[in-house]
Amino acid sequence: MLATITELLAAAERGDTAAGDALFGALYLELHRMARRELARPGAPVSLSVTTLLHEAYLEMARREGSSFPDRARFMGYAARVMRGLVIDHARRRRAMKRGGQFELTSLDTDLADNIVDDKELTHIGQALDTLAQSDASLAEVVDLKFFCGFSFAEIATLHQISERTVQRQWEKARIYLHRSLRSNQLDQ
Amino acid sequence: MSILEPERWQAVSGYLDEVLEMPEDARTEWLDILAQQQPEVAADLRSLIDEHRALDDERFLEGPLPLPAIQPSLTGETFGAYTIVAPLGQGGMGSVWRAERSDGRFDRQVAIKLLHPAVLGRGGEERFTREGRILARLVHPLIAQLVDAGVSRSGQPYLVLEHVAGEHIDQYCGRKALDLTARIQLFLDVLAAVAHAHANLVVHRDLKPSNVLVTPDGGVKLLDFGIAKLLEDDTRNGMSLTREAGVALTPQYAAPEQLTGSSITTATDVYSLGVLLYTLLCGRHPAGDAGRSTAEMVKAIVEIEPARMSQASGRAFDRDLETIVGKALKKAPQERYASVTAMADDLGRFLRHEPISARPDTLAYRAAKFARRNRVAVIAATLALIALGAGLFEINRQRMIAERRFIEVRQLANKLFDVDALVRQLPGSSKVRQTIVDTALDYLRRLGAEVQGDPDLALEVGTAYMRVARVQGVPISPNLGQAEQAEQNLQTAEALVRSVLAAEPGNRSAFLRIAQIAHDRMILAGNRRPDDQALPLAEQSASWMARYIDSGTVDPAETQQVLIAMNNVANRFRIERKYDEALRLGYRAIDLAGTLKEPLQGGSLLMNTAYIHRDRGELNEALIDIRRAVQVLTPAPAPGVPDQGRMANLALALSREGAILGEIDHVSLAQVADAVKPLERSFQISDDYAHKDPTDSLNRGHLQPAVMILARLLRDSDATRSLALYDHLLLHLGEIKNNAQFRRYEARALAASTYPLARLGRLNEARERLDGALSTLKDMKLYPAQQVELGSEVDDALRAEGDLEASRGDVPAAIRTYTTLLELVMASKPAPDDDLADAVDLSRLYASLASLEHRAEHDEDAGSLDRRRLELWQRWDRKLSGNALVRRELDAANAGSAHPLASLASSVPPAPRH
Repeated sequence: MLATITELLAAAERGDTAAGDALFGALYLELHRMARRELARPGAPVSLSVTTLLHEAYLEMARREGSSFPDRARFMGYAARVMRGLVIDHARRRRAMKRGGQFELTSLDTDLADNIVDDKELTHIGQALDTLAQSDASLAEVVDLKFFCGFSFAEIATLHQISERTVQRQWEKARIYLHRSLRSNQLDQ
Repeated sequence: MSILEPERWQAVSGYLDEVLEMPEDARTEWLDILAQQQPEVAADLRSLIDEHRALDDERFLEGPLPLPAIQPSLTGETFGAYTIVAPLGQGGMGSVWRAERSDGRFDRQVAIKLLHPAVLGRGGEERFTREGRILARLVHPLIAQLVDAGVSRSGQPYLVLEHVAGEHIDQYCGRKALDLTARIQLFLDVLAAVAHAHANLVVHRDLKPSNVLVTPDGGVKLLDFGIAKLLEDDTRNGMSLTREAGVALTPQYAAPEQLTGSSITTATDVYSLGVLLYTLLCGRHPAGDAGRSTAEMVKAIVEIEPARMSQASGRAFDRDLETIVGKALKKAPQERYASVTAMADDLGRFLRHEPISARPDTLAYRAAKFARRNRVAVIAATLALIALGAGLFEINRQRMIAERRFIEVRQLANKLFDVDALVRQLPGSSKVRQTIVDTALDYLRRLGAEVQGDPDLALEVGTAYMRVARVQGVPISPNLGQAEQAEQNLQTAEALVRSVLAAEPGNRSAFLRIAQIAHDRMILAGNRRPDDQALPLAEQSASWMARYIDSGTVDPAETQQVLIAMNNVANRFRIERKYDEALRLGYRAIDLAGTLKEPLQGGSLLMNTAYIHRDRGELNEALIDIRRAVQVLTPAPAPGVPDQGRMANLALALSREGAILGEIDHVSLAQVADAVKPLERSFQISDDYAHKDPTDSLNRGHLQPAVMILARLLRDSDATRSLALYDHLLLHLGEIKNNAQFRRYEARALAASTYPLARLGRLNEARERLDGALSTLKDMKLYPAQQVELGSEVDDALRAEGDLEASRGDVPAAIRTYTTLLELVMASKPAPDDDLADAVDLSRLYASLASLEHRAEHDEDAGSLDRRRLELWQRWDRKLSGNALVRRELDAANAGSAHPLASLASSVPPAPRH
């Protein structure tokens, strides 16, 4: 039986890890599908920014699943998490120069052909975020939203109904955590 | 355990919040204190703060993560003779990829631009490839070559272009801080390239800084020559602006003819080059700053002359140079440089300090320019851009609300009304208006929630609601006929504006808005039955308007609206017989209008003063004023579409002229033969417009007075024509549903049409019509009634019934009907001694009934009625002695009603046929 995103979200939040994985997969597919559809529309731009895609995805899913669909803030948290995964995968694949994939993320700005942050670091950041999420989920979410999806402080503040200052502080704390994590990882190696 | 572990991190996290909020110098002390109580936590914090400092220096995670875009992968695909090697990024029209020849031969660096399949348009693949081949023949060292254009097997159109690495020309000039001469010399290279293309009959159509690159060796390279034409199908030029994603709705570099849909020629490129030169020389855009709405931009480009470069930038520029740029930027293509070469020649002369060939503008020319209006073109362009961008618009709309970017929503609501103000002028655009209304109400509902504590916003939203209400159903301008919704929205508007006054009691704009809202509600109230709400609203409007006018100068943008409102309020006073107030307000408005050259206002005001005079029995004065009104409203023969509002008013003025001259059974000069001409003219004008816009209810309403009066005039002398006129009116009225006013007009027309029918001997049909009229009135709960006002629809219908019964020879029935009517009329407490119109109506009623009583040989009853009538007019004679109307009535009353169906009708010669 195909569960709705709403049901998966509820189950995942109750701690059901299988539902969490299923949710991740479902969102991943959903975002892909939406991206493809947006690109195929007449008059649509030929590429899509991530924030646009996430907004559109939310609107569409909320409309489809009705009033029990979780609010934007919770949705964005999950969607941003998915984007994190996609971006990290993309960075790894670019290095491997895979060809002929069905669907590929390409960089917008080709002057920065080589990443500011290399894919190994990104992978590690991803892992560190998972750990951080266990003790302070909101910090991890801010990083997902800002760093991996490109939301601004103001947008995140509005999304979570908190002050911009608070978001900035969360960002700073998260950076401290991640930096420490990266450094201790290097030291270990 | 590492600090990264959840337990330790959580212990520190709260303290970390505190510390991060503190200024640097306060931290040390605070940490010292903490160290005494919780040494381990303090130590952790110190180390984390050090970490923070270090990562800040490194700018950890601050660099832009090259955010991925999402698009299908194409590496390895072939297009024509080329294979894609790697992505290059995004262009304006599509994705761009680096490519090489498939057969491995090295030719040059190429890029492949992939386009949306929609660009093939109606011409399809064949046209695309054919025109692409033509463009590919354009070869010039300064032009980036189009190598090939084609369509892949999967239907994907593509362009193979010479790949050029370079900077946009404006960035290059800025970065290298080139001086004036250097910039002009660079620009001359650009002109050389364009001249070559023109010689080969290719127009660029999309010259802008991003299409003019400067390569590392300082050479110029022009991109995308003629691509704009290649991409559009054979429809309007305006399309090319919206096809390019990211350029949609930004007509910044467009020439006026591109926006108005006129032909594109080499002169279009000259204009764009003018914009480019202007920008390169003084750093500003000739149409003004960025960030304006589409409508404003379009208007600026099509209508408004650009400021001189010296004025725009504050730096001094040689007059000759300004003249050269100005000539390129002329709105009319034929006034620009005839060729790019001519422009280059003049620039060359300028550089060599020789006299240039272009002449600067004379003072008279500049003055004349500002008088030029091209409103229809601006409207068309704006509508086209908005309608074509509708898809993008929709996404943007959702996104904006989704992101709650408040300011943009607010601006957008206002932009909708800018467009509506333009749109209102065009006949046939009611569907567009309905869309605008629906969209706007959506916004306003959301905005309304945000209004607390923000008087400015409250005023804006209130004003917006008022405007929506007007478009919906306030019959002072073309509307959709939705009176109830309009009333609701007006009340919402009022509440909002009153909240502004509560916060800011001296806010003048609020005074004006309340006056306008009260006025709009007054109009709606005047169309309801009973209409007793209208007078208090009129007084409210007049008093707030007086406060507005007395407290400062009238905002020039609002003058028209102010005058319209005052005019309508004065009219309401007139209807309610508050003649002194009506005249006072009317003259005040005429004073105000004295400074404007607005014939619409002048004419309207005169129409109303004419009617006030009429109501006072001053018919000659009335005729003078109404004829002045007609004169003022008659447009001079001029090209273009006459203002719809003006024509509607002219039609009304003409019908009033006819009424004053010869409206039978009413206060008039009884010069029936003279009345026919203005009435026919009025009818013609209204009829033309009713055909042009089938959904616009205002026009049909204007048919009504002319038809009713004219048909009444003709009902005995030309019954066939009379009937045809009534039927014509009924047809038009019947097409608008849900309008109470029109149902009443219908009832009246049905009743009136029984007369010509009776005259033609078609008595059964007449009876049917009358039943129809009564049934409509019954549906509207107007009949049966306890009282009937003189001149109302029920009055007309019952008289028609009585007269019809009399025509059939059923005198007793006719007497019964008329007697009942008289009782009902008396129950409504008419004022025949104060109101001349009431006196005429009542007198006629007496006369008709008296005549019937005579026929039935009830001479006593007849005599008593005759006496009442006579005495009425004798009283009037004392009040207004010498008045022609009163004289006539008195004479008729003296003659008595012994003659069958004596009335004031005089015979009319048959109307001339068209």
